[in-house]
Amino acid sequence: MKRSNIVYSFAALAALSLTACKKDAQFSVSKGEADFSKYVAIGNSLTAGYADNALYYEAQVVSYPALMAKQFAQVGGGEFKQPLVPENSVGIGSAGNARLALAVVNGALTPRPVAASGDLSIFTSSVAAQGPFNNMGVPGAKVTTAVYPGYGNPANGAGNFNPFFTRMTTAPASASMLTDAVTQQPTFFSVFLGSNDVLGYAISGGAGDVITPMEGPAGIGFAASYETLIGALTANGAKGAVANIADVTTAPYFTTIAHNSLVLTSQVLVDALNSAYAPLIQAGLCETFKLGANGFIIEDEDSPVGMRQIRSGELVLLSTPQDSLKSAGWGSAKPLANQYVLTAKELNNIRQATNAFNQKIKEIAAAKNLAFVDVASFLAKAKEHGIEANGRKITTTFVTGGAFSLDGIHLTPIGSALLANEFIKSINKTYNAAIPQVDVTRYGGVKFP
Amino acid sequence: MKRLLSGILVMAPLSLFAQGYQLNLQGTRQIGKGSTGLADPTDATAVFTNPGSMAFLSANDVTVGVSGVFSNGTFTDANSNEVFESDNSLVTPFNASIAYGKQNSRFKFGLSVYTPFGSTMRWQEGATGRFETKEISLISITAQPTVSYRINSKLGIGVGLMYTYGHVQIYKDLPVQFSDGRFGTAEIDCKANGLGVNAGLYYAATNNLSFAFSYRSRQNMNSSKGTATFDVPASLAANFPSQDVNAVLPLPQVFGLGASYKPNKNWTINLEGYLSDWSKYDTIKINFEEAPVAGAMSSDLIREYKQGFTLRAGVEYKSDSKYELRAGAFYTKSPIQEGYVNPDVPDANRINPSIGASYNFSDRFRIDAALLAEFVTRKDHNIISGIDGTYKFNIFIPSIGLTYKL
Repeated sequence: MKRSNIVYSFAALAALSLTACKKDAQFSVSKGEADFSKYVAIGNSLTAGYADNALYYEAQVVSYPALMAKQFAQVGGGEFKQPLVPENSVGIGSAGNARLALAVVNGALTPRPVAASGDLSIFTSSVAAQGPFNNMGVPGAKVTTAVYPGYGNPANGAGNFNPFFTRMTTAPASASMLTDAVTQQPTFFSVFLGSNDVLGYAISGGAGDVITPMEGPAGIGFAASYETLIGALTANGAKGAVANIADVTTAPYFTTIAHNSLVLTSQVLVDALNSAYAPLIQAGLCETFKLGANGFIIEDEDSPVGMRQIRSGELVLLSTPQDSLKSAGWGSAKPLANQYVLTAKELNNIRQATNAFNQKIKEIAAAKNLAFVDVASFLAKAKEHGIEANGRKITTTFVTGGAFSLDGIHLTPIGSALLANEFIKSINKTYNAAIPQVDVTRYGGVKFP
Repeated sequence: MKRLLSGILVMAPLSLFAQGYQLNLQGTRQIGKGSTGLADPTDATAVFTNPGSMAFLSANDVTVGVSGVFSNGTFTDANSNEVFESDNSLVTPFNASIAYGKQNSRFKFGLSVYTPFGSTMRWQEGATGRFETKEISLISITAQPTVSYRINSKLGIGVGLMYTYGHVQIYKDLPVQFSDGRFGTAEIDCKANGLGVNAGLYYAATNNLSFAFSYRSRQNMNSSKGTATFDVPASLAANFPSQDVNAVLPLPQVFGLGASYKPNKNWTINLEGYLSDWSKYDTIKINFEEAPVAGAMSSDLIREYKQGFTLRAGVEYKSDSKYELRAGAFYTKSPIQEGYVNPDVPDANRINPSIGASYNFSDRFRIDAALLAEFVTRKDHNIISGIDGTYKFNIFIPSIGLTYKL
């Protein structure tokens, strides 16, 4: 061999290496049997990108349908318009409040509104001219209200129209969420509704709102309303995805305060409570108080004396004023009001309704060959085991778990990204598509000061 | 002594991924023939390759050299289909050996300074695996004084004491976010040292056939003075206290068995196999010395390495003029098990081809060149982190070495 041969050999080896470098490991993306050119998402606050107890810009831009639309763009998806609020706004919640952020209060991390009031201009200035909107998520919407004409009509009077819808529809007096969606002639849709049909009842501790009945005409009953929605959306042959609803106990709003968080450190107090509640204890409605953890005393209209001790499995809601628990004797000297507690009976009502709604959603999905997203199983898994997100373990624990924002009900950006991926996985399976999932590591959880 | 210092040395190169962190390569000559040479002593690199064969070197010599490790790669996420690049800075390991014995003495003494283990990996900004590893740099240097004894004309034995110094730096993101959206970061910096033994046997069965066995013991790299530094939001600072750490990094024991056959004066054929026992490299615990971090007193890197092995073959042609040419290849079975691949060392089973050449300027002075290529493809779904995708790396290691016979 000559020197030139050696040079040639080295060059050949180099060429071989460069060839190997070009081979990549990506899969070929595909829209499968679906057409994503016009995607419209119908839903409630979760779909709208409501988080930290308010609708605000940063959360809207990472709403799960917006994240899905970004992935759809790789397989022919079109523009995805959302009714965004101003970028630097403190946002607005359903109680007119500003969004929550973590702050250090008396040395402890505490969710606090970032302003004394929400940005009311969001309700008073319509963005309808920027529409129509692909994101038809309306905070507070139920399956029944999604088909309700004039859902945004202020003339109905306070409490009888939804200002989140008013600001985004061109016809507040006559349009429904469904008509505004169908007018856009979506080629692909998603429906994630039903949570508020039980959640309204649940977040008020069973004290306000009612669970939507299964039976009844569209606008009253769950089944007919859902069928109307899906019927209209699939009328032109559009494909879509529907999601079921999760058990309430997967949201930290219902699980963060343990039922036995009444911690007694003084024997004097223990004795005083045992004496005060002696009749309850004798009636078997309360255990003898002891040092350490005890169950709260709660209101219960089914109890002969209107109160009793909470039982294991019953839930104390995150809305319970923490300082009242600590210093005003709530749950001990004074029973916790019904609106802060879900009793076993109320939980049973919620679970029965959830199961029935989920059964209906699954049936409709199967009948219409739609992608079915099992949000209930997904959140149950996140609660039991956590989700491994490329080195970050995401759970449903309040604040530290990462999935839920500071209101304990709505999702963080990474929570939305994980949910978007559940949709995408189901869509890929149902429509034989290969849509890349969202890289969840790009998205955060709760932010810390 | 003056002659010794003026000599020029050959060195062992370094491969980024050979068997985990292990850089089981020798001198430039050996690289050119599939990294073989266990039963084929040619110069002072025998101090590392096989101390038992050093006593059979025909002359005393000094070697030095340098290699350049050019490495780049990608990780393709199986779910998001996104590709993240790893652009690793050029590493230039150097390695020097000397073998010296009095004429007619059965003893030879040697000293080699080499890089037994190493890895650098720097992932692009925002890479999906950054909560496991954003950047890692692991360097180690071993000094190995060695004695070799020729028992008779056929059998040699040798043993060296390995003192290894290592330095590991790991950078990763933490899943806690500042109010501006930035993620927290962690940096772990450990300096460590360990002792071990490198022993070998060499048996020249006939004039043209020889066998060899080598054993390098496990080295427990003890790091008693490490630091962990965390950058997290102020409200979480108490949960992530920066502090001193300690750790033990167990380097594997390695068994080697080889044969060398010279059908005539021009040709040499080498075959050998190595077994690397990484079984102690299971869970690397970085112990926090002062206070818990996010509730834990240690950060556990679950690696679960097992056995790895390498089969090597090389052929060398010595011309009657001043040229020598060689080529070879080796197959490596990775010690990293299915489900345990991490972005720090995405190792894989693979075949590495190599070529090399030498030119003898005189009886005493020789220059060697070699080129080794590594093509690594590893698809894995890590059962702990959930990271799911394909790592692809191309590594190029040109090496140049010089040998001077004393």
